[in-house]
Amino acid sequence: MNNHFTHSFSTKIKVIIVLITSSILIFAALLIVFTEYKILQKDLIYNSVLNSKLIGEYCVGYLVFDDDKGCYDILSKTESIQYIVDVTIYDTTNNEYARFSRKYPIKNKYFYEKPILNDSVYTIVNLLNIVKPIYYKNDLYGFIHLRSSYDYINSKILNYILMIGVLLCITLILTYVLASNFQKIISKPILNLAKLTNEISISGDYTRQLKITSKDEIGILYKEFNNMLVEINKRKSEREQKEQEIRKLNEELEEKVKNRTKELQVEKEKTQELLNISDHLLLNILPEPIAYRLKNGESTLADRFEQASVIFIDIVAFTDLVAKYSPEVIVKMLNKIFTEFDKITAKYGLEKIKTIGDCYMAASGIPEYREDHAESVTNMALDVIDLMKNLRTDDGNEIKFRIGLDCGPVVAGVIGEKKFIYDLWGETVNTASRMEKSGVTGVIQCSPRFKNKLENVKNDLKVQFIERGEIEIKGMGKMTTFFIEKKNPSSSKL
Amino acid sequence: MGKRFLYSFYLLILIFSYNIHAGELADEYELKAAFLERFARFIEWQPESWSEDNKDFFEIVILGDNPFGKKLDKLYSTQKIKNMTVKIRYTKSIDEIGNCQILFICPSMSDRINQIIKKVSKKNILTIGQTKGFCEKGVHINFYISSSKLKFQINDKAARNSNLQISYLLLQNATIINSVGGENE
Repeated sequence: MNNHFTHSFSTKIKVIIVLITSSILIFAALLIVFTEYKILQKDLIYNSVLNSKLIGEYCVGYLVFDDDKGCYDILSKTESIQYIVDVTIYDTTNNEYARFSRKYPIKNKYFYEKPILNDSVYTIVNLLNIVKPIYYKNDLYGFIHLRSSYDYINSKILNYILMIGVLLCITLILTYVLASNFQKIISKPILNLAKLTNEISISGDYTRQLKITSKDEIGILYKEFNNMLVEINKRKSEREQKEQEIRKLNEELEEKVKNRTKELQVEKEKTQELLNISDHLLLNILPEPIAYRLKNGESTLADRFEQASVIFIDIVAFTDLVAKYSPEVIVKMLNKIFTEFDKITAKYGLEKIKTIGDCYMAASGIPEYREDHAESVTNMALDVIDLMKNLRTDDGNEIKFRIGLDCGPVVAGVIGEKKFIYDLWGETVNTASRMEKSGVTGVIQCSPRFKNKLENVKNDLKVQFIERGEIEIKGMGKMTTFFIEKKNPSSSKL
Repeated sequence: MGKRFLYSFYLLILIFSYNIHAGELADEYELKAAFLERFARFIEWQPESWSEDNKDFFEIVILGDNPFGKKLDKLYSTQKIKNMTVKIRYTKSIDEIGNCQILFICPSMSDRINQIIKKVSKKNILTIGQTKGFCEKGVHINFYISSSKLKFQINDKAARNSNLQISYLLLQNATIINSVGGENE
């Protein structure tokens, strides 16, 4: 079965045409032969019956006038009818009256047997037997027995079959020859189509066209194929144009992206710079951990620290200085002083909280706890004392400070949504502030708990506490405070 | 011995020949009588052939000296022709022929045949004879003996002139004479 698909189209057409033609012809031939045989058979019966009746009637006169010779003459005339084998006339007494039998080369080919004399038609061994009564004007004159051979129609049919067979062979040969030639009408245009398709697939040239030579189905196929090629070519051109446009757009886009990327890079760098500045600024105003927490989205920050130290440094008689000097000088001076304080703060890892006018506030132990918070603020205070010795206004006047210290629990946090400030609250802050306010110029004053804390932390202190006595602290009542001095004035740290 | 045997053989042949001939002569009129009925099977008469008083009979007239003897009467006393009782009439007078279906003209009337034919040729009567030349003169059927067999001639033209329709089955058994006969001949 698969072999059918490997044959060429032209072979298939030839085979199909020959098969169809031969099938139809064979079927038609069989039908014709069969029909013809049936017709001949029917004709044989009809003619035999008719002949028997006619012969019987012709013999009436001879039967009436007892002329068996005349009767035989009539019977012998059937010799010209080839299919009649023999004819026998019986009289009314059922005796054979006259008989004519065809002479065959082979003797006794057809054995004769007297039939039952009635009205019947039957076949015995390839012989059609007709038995008919002979009537004339309703009077019975005898019987006729006529036998016809089917050999006649058989040989006729055989000749017919042979003739049809020969015609069939000739027709099939002609069909094959014609199919071989006419299949080109169908196969050649298809092969042309296949050839052009192959050429186009190799060359990619869609401008090629098939030449339309007919208006039949092949013509329509060619026309549609040409239309398809035109459409493909058109689409190809459009696609190429679009691709070119897309390429151009891509290039433009790439350029834009490149430029935009550059711009973004610049913007990013600027942003980064701004972020850095922002971070720097943020870190300037906020402790680094707090700044990170704020950046990470925490809106309200309030942390309680059980132990922290707070230092307040205030310029003594600052109001007088403000009155004496121009604001620019004051600001410059404050900037200079506080810059130095910032350095000291950084030196000891303290957290600058804020400046309030001429007051500088710092803390230790926040926002991350440290064990030496009291020690570190003490060191800062000592450094400020040392710094004060060399600080002068532009016109040479001495600048003096009061320093207050305390330690204890504080609440640290950021308040507000704008202009953030990391601030401290609590009694410790107030106490430290009071220590500064109630302090003495050029001296460090601390609360008793600060003293205790410092003493508990470090045994070999390089500072000493000088009890000032009990003083009235605003809002806190009476409190014994202590001045802190270096034991050895040459040492700079505890 | 040889001669005696030869004489005996000749005698035997003579006796046998006589018997055959005698038999033929004896049967001839019986046969002819029978043939009248057989002819009637293949011949159609016009209805006018039967007169009102004779309509139930088939009448045969024997004109001349009767050669049948009693054979006709004997045969047709029981035998019917065309399913009708047969009436046999014997006469020697032409004028007494009258209405009948078959007129058998005996040899004794051969001298007056033309007169007879003239008398009956226009009538619907079948004329039958047994004399040579009768058919040519206009008699419809004429018997003759050939090869010891009884045969007959038919003058079909004359029969048709007498409005008689003779079947081809009868004609094919007869010798056809093509003449009108009668005074026209």
